This record gives sequence, structure tokens and C-alpha cells, in this order.
Amino acid sequence: MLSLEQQQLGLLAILRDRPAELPSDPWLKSIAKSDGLKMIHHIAGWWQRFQIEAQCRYTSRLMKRVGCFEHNVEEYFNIHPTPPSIEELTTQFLSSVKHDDNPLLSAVAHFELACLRLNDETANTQTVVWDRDPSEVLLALESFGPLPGPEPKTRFVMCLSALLPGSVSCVREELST
Amino acid sequence: MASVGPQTTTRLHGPALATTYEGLGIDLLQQIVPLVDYLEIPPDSISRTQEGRTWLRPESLDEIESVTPQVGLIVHGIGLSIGSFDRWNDSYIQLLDAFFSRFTPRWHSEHLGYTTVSGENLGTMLALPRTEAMLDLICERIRLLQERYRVPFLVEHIIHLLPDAPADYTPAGFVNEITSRTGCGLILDAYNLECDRNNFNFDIAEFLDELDLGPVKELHVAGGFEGDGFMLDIHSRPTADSTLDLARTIIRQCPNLEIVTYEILKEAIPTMGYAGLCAELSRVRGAIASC
Repeated sequence: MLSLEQQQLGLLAILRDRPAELPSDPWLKSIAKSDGLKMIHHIAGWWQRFQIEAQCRYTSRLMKRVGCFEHNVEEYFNIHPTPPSIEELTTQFLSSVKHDDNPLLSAVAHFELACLRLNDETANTQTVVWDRDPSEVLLALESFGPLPGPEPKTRFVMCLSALLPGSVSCVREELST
Repeated sequence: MASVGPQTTTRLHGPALATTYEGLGIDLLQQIVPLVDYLEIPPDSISRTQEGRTWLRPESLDEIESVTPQVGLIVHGIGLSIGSFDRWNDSYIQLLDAFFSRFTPRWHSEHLGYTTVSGENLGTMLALPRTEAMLDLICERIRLLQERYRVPFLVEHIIHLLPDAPADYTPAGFVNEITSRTGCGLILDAYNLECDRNNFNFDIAEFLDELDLGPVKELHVAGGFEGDGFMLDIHSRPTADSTLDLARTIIRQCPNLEIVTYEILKEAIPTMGYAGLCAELSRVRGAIASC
């Protein structure tokens, strides 16, 4: 019979889909092909999507519009273990999306991450650069309206800090070529 | 030999009623507090984590304190991971320390399961193997909790989604060993029992017949839903009539049962609505009042 350590590490390997770490054991083999395991994965995926939708309101809405929400969330959690707290889940996910190649998605995720950090008194002023008017973007996501397009030779520099009046400022800058 | 039915107990009044409070705000509290005797507080759910540090939200503690003249508190943990082979979750202990520094709940409790292995979150809670090795581990940890917090400690069985590991004990025998070795109390969950019956043909009557019901102090009821043939313990709906029937059966057999808790996830409350939640609390109260 497996020791407690072997049992639990084996289950961890199954849940994380790491077959190389799986000891040879008939019970663990029965777990790996059980309907219950599929249900656990199904519940975990549903829960992750639910929390991302609830906590990352704008980012998840934009991802759905782009058509990458389901795929990207699943891919993200396949690679990254689910942290125990919702705050960590949210901030880690947004930190990842912040580096997306899509500049609008990157800016929206960065903005939501900066909003979450507004309550952190030790956080410095955070700057988010947009290629289009962020207020129009957020309004469109809030109302499910059409998104504005990028403005050529223009950028919007948004600063977020608890020390700023209203916690946010935004400056429109013309870019010289 | 003639069979003997389970002993039953009769109370002058039904057991006390509790419901979950996960920090949704004073408006909700003002609605539910007049309907219950206790609030079930999961410390994990009123905590905040940032940069690896976890603490109880001060605003949630203030809300709870504002209603403690009218209602008692019980603490029900999710994140201790009492059955992890390597260690339990120290950050949950810090949450408990902080809670106990401000409140004295009637008791605190945790699930017989584990959520982390080698510090890695499983993303689910898994049931304990019913072995001697697990008994040694868990009874020692229960003793540590009993020494640390001078209020009763209760454990609760959880639903199974995976086939059982090789075991030295029956489900009831394992729980009996825990309660008899440590003196801890027990929470029975009528909905969890129904889930296990649906998912694995678990024999509830046989379980209750073998179980020492003396340590049972609290009973949980809840409503969930089915997916792909599985009944799931996602507490999101009103309690089914069958669950309340089972609850009444259990209450009548447990001489020391004090509290029935209707459990509901905060994520489900917007759908259920405050009025729906209040109606459900009144319904559960009515169902258990005559027990």
C-alpha cells in the first residue's frame, strides 16, 4: 500500500496531468480513468472561469469579444496551478494577460490590475498606456457597445494612484513621427 | 433477534438555526440576522491575500461585531488542509488566531479533507484515506487545535468524487476513531450524504447505524445541482425536500445536536436574492422546529 506521501503526491500528479511523476499503483490508475476525475477538472475549470468573469470584469468581457476567453483561461490554468485565494488568482491571471500581444487587451488587463492595487498603500503610481481613449473603451465594455478603434499617432497615458484625486488621471499625447 | 430501530431524542424546541456569512455586507446581515441564532463564518471567505500575506478584512470583522449582540458565531474553515501529509496551512491558522483575538465563537470546525500537497493548491478538496497512518496524523493535529483554541473543535465529512483509497476502516468507523481518540465533535451534512448516495451508492442508513452520534453537535443542509450524473456540493440552491427529510431523521437520532446550518455560497446569493434566502431560512426553521 502506498504511504500517505506517495498517495497525495500521486493524486497531485494526476490532477496536474504530470504522468511522469505518477507511481505505479492500481488505485491511482483507477483514479486516472475515473469519471470523478473528469468532474473535478470540469468543476475546477468552471470555477476558474466564474471567478475570472466576476473579478476581472472588463478583461473577461474583452476576451470574450476577441473570442479567446475559454481557450486562454483553460491554457493559463493548465500551466499555472490555481492559487488558494481569489485575489492571487485574479492578480496572477491579469499579470499574465498584461503581456498579451493584443495592445488593447494588454491595456485593459493592466488597468484592472492597477485598480486592484489601488488599495495597496505601498504600491507606487502605476502607468497604463492606451492606443485609444480608455474611457470610451470601458464604456463600450460596460454597455456591450461597439469598441473604439486605435487613434493613429496618439497615446493615452493613464496614471493610477490612491494619492491622486479620484485615484486616476489620463493625458492624451500626440506622437511626433 | 428482533431488530431495534435507532434511538430518537425529543427536544422542547428545535435546534438553533445558523447560516453562512461570507462578508457580503451589512445589508445582507440586517436581513438574515433576525432569522437565525448563529452565523457560520468561514475565515477564508472574509480574508484578503496580497503579496503572499493573508489577513481578515477589517470591514467584515466590523460588520460581524455589529450584530454579535443579536447572534452567536460558529467558525467553519475550508483552507486548513488538515489532512495534508506534509503540513497544514499555516496562513489559515493565522486567520483563526486573528478571529479568536476578537471573537469567541461557540465552536470552530474543519473538513476531513485536504486542499494542498507539498504547498501546491489542488484546486479541490479531497477526502482522507481511512487508514491508521491518517488517523495518527489527523488526531495529533486535532489535539494541537484543541490546545490552541479553548472552544470545541468539530470535524465534517466531505463528499467523494473519486474512488476510495484502500482503507483500514469503514466510513463510520474512521469517524468514530477520530471522535473517540480526540474528544472532538462532529458535523453531519445531510446534503453531502445524499451526494455520496447518488454518486457511489453510499448506504446512509448503514453509516448512521454504525456512527457514534453522541459527538454530533451540528448538522448542515444545503442545495446543489447535478452534472453528468454527479450530485455536486456547490451550495447554491434551496434545500431539497429529501434533504430536509433526511435532516429531520438525523436530528431525531442525535441527542447532543445543537445547531442546524443552512449553507450557501456568497456567489449564489445574487441569483437567490435576499428575499429568497430569507424565505429559505424560514422554511428550514419550520422544517426542523418540530424535531
